[in-house]
Amino acid sequence: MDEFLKIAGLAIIAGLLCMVVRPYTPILSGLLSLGACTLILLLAVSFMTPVLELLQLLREMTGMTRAVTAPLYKSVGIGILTQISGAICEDAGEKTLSKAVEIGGTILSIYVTLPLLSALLSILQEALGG
Amino acid sequence: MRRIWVALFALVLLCSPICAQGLDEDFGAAALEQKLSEPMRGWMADYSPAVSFDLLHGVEDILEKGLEYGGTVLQDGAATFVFLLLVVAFCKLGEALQNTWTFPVASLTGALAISLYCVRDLHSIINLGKQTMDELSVFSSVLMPVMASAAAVSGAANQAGTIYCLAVLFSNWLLKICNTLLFPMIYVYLTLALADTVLGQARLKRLKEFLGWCVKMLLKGLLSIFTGFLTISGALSGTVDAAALKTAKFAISGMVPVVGNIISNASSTLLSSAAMLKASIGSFGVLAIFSIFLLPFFKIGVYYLTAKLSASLSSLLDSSLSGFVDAISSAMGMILAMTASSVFLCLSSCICFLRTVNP
Repeated sequence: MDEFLKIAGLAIIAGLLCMVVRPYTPILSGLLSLGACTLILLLAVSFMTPVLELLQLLREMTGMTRAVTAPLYKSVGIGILTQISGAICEDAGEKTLSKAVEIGGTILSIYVTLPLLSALLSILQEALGG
Repeated sequence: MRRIWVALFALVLLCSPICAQGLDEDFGAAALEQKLSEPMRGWMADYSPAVSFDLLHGVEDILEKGLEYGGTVLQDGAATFVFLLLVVAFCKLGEALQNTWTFPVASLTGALAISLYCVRDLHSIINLGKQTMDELSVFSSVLMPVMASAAAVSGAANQAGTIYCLAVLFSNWLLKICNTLLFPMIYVYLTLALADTVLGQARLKRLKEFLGWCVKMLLKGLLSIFTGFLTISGALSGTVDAAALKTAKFAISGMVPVVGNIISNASSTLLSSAAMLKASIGSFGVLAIFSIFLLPFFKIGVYYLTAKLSASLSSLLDSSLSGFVDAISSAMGMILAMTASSVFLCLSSCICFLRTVNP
C-alpha cells in the first residue's frame, strides 16, 4: 500500500509539474512525463518478483511448458509497453506515431504467438498421421 | 419295474446337465474372460461366468478398484482447471490492454495456448472413447452369442434371436457411425470453436452449434430406435416363447403316456438350470461391461466437469475465451455420450437376455 501511495504521489506531482511547465517549455514537460513514467514502472517492477514466483509455481503445478507460457507473458508485456508508449506519443501530440506503435504492437504480438501456432500444427499433423 | 427304470433314467438326465462346467463350455462362456483386456481381467479375477454371484457386491468391488486410480485423474483435472483459469485471466489482462487494437491478439494467443495445452489431452480422450467402444464391441461379440445361446436353451429361442440380431446390428451401426462420422465431427467442432474465438465475431457459432446438435440427435435417434425395436420385438417374441413353452410342456405331459409328466418336469428342471447359468453369465457380462466403462467414464467425466467449471468461471470474467472453453467441455460431453451409448446398447441387451422368458 505504501509503495502504491508513493506511485500515486509521484504521478500527481509529475502531472502538476507537467501542467505548469507545458505552456513555457513543452519539451521539458514531455521529458518530465517520460521520466515519471520510467520511475513508476521501476517501482512497480519491484513487485513483480512475487507475482513471477506465483506464476512459476502455477506453471510447475499445471505442467505447462515454456512454449505455452512464454507467448502469453510476452503478449501481455507487449500490450503494456504499447499502451504506455502510445499514450506518451499522444501526449506529445503525435497521434500518427501512437497508431504506428499500436500497429507495431499488434504485429509483434502475432509474431510471438507464431511458435504456439506452429507447435499446435505440428502436434495436429503428428496426431492425424500427416 | 419299468416305471422305476424310467425314473432312474430321468434322474440321471436331471443331474448331468446341471453341472455348470459342461454347459459353460458348450455356450463358450470361458472365452468371455479371455476377451477382456489384461487390466480388466485382473479386476474381474474374483468372478467367473460359470459361478453366480451377488451383482451389487461385484459392482461395489469394481468401484473400489476403480477409485484407486481416482487420485491421479483428479490431479490431472485440477491441473487443467488451474491452467485454463490462468490463461483466461492473462487473456483478460491482454484484452484490457489491447482494447483499442483493431485485431484481438490476446484472444488468439489465449485460444492457441489452450489448444496447445489441451490438444494432447483431447486427442487422448477421443482415443480413450474409441478404445472403450472397441473393447466393448470385442467383448460383446462374445457375450451376446453366449447369452443368446443360454437364453435359447432356457426356452426363449425367439426372443434370444431377436435381441441378439438387434444388439449386433445396432452396436455395429453405432461403432461405424462414431468412427466415420461423429469423432471427425468433434475435431471439426473444436476447429470451428477455435476459429470463432480468434475471429471474435461469433459468425461460426451457428455452424458449430449445428454440428453439436447433429451429434446429439444422431445418438438420441439411434438409441431411441434401438429401444423401440427392443421393446416391441422383445414383448412380441417373449409372448410367443412363453406360449410355445407352455404348449410344449402341456403336450409332453398330456401326449406321452405314463412318463409324460416326469419328462415334462425333467425338462422344466433342465430349463431352470440353463436359466441359472444364463443369469450367472449375464451378471458376469454386466459387471465386465461396468468395469470396462468405469475408468474411461471417470476420466472423461472429470475432464468434462473441469472444462465446464472453467467455462462458467471464465464467463464471469467476461472473457472471449469462455466460449472456447465451453466448446471443449461440450466436445467432452459428446465423447462421453458416445461411450455411454455403446455401454447402454450392451447393458440393455444383456438385461433383456436376462429378462427373457423363464420356465
